[in-house]
Amino acid sequence: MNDLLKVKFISSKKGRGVFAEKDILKGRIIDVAHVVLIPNNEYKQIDKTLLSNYCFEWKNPKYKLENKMALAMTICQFMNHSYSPNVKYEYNYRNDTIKFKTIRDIKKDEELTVNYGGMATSKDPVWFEVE
Amino acid sequence: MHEYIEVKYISEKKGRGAFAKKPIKEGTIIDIAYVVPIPNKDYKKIYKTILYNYCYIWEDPEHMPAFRNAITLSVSQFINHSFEPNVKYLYDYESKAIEFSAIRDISKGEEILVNYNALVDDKSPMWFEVE
Repeated sequence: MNDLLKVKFISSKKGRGVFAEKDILKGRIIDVAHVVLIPNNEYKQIDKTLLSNYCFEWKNPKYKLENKMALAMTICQFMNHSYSPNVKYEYNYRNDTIKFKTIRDIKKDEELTVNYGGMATSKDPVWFEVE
Repeated sequence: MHEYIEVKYISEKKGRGAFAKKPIKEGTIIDIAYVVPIPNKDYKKIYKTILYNYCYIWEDPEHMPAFRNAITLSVSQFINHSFEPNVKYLYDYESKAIEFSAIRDISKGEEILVNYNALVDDKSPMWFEVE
């Protein structure tokens, strides 16, 4: 159980989202997610499925030839996208992990969001309509 | 951060495993792993990839027969198999989650293990070699 986060159903359009179980201060690491690396030849198949929505680009120079995508095993996968997110994530190629960290104070029951573009300030378009 | 489970590298052969961060009492719910149900047409593609190892049979009456499998996105994905497990899991179709609970007391640092056959005492063979 993650003691800070819970998943809740929002609406049939938005699906599920992640919410704060309690007040969370800025700078708090909310999860360190281990990833499963996906070989390139297999990703061609996965790319055509709904799991492509959950995969991260994995640019570890060490794996360049074999792996370029990864699936993170974390409740943070259920976080929705926002262009003004309250959580950011960082890759750790040495440990095959992704660290999720709050970038401002979050109140209990507030929704947690990340920018799917990677950088918290990215304005890159995402592959679905943003409200 | 996860309250009960940490992922650690074991060996090249065994890969990673899940370990108790602190002592866990029998009956404790250690993880609620939310699932992404996979449509059958997508599962046909995923079946041939590494992610096959992370999928569960998921026969939610609400989505049958178009969906028969699901993947969880949670740290509990790194729990290894044992025919003498210390944790069991139960499907909760209503919450779209798989709930993991301790079936005996577990010490701090002990490896967390489940029977991949879903039933604790089912000795059906695995699709890989069991030590």
